[in-house]
Amino acid sequence: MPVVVQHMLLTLAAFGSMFSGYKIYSIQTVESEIAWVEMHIIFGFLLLIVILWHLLYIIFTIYGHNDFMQMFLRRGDIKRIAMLGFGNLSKTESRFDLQEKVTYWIIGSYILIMASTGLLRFANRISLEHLPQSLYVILIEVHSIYGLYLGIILIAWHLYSVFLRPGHFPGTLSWLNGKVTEKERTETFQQGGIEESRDKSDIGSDN
Amino acid sequence: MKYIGILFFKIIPALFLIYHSTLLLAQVQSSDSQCLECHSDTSQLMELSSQPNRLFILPEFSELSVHNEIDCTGCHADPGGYPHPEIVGLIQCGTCHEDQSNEYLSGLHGNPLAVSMELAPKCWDCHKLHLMRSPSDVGSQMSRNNEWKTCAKCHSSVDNVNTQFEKVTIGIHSSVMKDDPAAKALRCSDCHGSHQLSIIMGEKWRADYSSEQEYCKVCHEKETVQYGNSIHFETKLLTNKGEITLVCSDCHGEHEEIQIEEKRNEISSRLITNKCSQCHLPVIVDSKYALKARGYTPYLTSLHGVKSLNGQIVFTNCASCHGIHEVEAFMTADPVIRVDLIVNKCGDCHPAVSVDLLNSRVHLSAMESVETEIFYSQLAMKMIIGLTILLISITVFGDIYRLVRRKIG
Repeated sequence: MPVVVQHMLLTLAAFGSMFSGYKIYSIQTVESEIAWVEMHIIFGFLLLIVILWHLLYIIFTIYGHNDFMQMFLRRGDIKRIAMLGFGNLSKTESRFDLQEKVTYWIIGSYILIMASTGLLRFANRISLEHLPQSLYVILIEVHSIYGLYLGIILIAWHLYSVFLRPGHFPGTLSWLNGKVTEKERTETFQQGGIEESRDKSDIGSDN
Repeated sequence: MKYIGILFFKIIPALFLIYHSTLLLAQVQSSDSQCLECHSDTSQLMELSSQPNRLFILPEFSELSVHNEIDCTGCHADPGGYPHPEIVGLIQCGTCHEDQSNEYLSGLHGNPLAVSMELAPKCWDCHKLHLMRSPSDVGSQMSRNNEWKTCAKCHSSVDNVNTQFEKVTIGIHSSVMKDDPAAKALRCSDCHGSHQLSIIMGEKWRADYSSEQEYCKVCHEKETVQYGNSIHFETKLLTNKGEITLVCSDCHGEHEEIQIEEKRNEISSRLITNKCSQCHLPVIVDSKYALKARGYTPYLTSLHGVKSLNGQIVFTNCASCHGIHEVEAFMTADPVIRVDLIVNKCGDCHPAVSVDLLNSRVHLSAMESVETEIFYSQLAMKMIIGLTILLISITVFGDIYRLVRRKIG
């Protein structure tokens, strides 16, 4: 269940940051009834908390650690990448398939970059004291409308891979209730890896 | 004996003086009346002369003219009886008005006399020939509120000079009379001098433009002192006319004197921005001094600039941050102090403003431009977005491909 809460908070922080960020970008007058900047900062700090929680989850829980290890690319993944996903290779030996791994790493990197650049922007005076202005401007530009565009695209990709992908439609509810149906468990088992990970990760996990 | 002495030494001389004075006055009046008999009668003048208008003298002359106590022959040579000689003699105002005459002859108006009598404006072109009223008389054409109209008689008809007259009529210094005829307008002579015409805005001004503010200071002391401490005044600009410093008329105009800031309306809000832009745009070369500006570009394309030019008058213009006469440029050697100055100024309107504003597009000077960094970081982000979309497309097509193969197989 903590993983579900973690995911919920991540979703809230991501959507809240993106929406308030868009309002800051698009607002055309000085006067505004809603303090979007302050809201953006609050969602940003929530995101940082979730990141820290996720980091501790990976480091200090076996389930999280094993899941994280499952995210690394294997030899079969390399072959799939070489064939651009069109190959007819055997099932992956990991819990996660190539697309899930790629989306995890890309989305994870994106969140880390946006959170860190946002933190730099929040502590702008300190940042400018220690960073060259040019580097600071580049980092701030990353944390801007193009960063938002990229976030929307990545969320769309994530939603596609969870709910719309052939074999996954109409998607799982495990993100909501933390439970995996028998069918989903079987499919995941057929992909391999879940037994192995389950054996090692049941300890200390509510999921 | 006492009374005899008073009679002979006091009363008789006094009576003698009164008698002769009365006699003299009667002669003058008699002389003027004799002249005016013909020269105030248009029908007679038309019969006797081919130039009746030139010779006509208003009957009110003897009442209104400041010269009404002077006999006609005090200025004109005695013409004797009628018919008069063709040339009676040149009027010599300088006989009585020596100082003014000398100033006039050394000034711009008097100089042409050395070349041609026809080119030079004469005393009577400004002061009138006979009906010469006192300048304090509101009917005088040299009174405070009429002087500019008198000057305009010539300075609105000469090529390239007529625009100056039109500008004067819209300038705040003369247009105050439109609202209040009793208001005291600034006279042309207040700036240009009366007879010499080069004392303030003439030769001295040409030699040193900065002297202009010395004059404006007479009425606008606060503004002039503020301006005297500003970067606009302290900075010498290298032009094809040598080193110059900006003066009041560079912003306010020489004759139109547009009062930019006091008219808080849409036009003035735009005016002040447009005025600043005349020098503070990189591609514009100021026509007055052939001065290439330093190149501050961002205001007009910034949020502030767009809002201002779109007519949102409550929005800021250049003066909102930089002030009007004090022209605060936020230029200090210490960058930390400079940042604080700017952030504090922005804080007037944006209480929660952060130092980030300095790196935004609200205002970046050319010297601090980070356009290159912004361009390449945006380009990189666009490329990353493109690559991500490509990657997603490949995975989606891969999924569809495998789905189709599974269905077929």
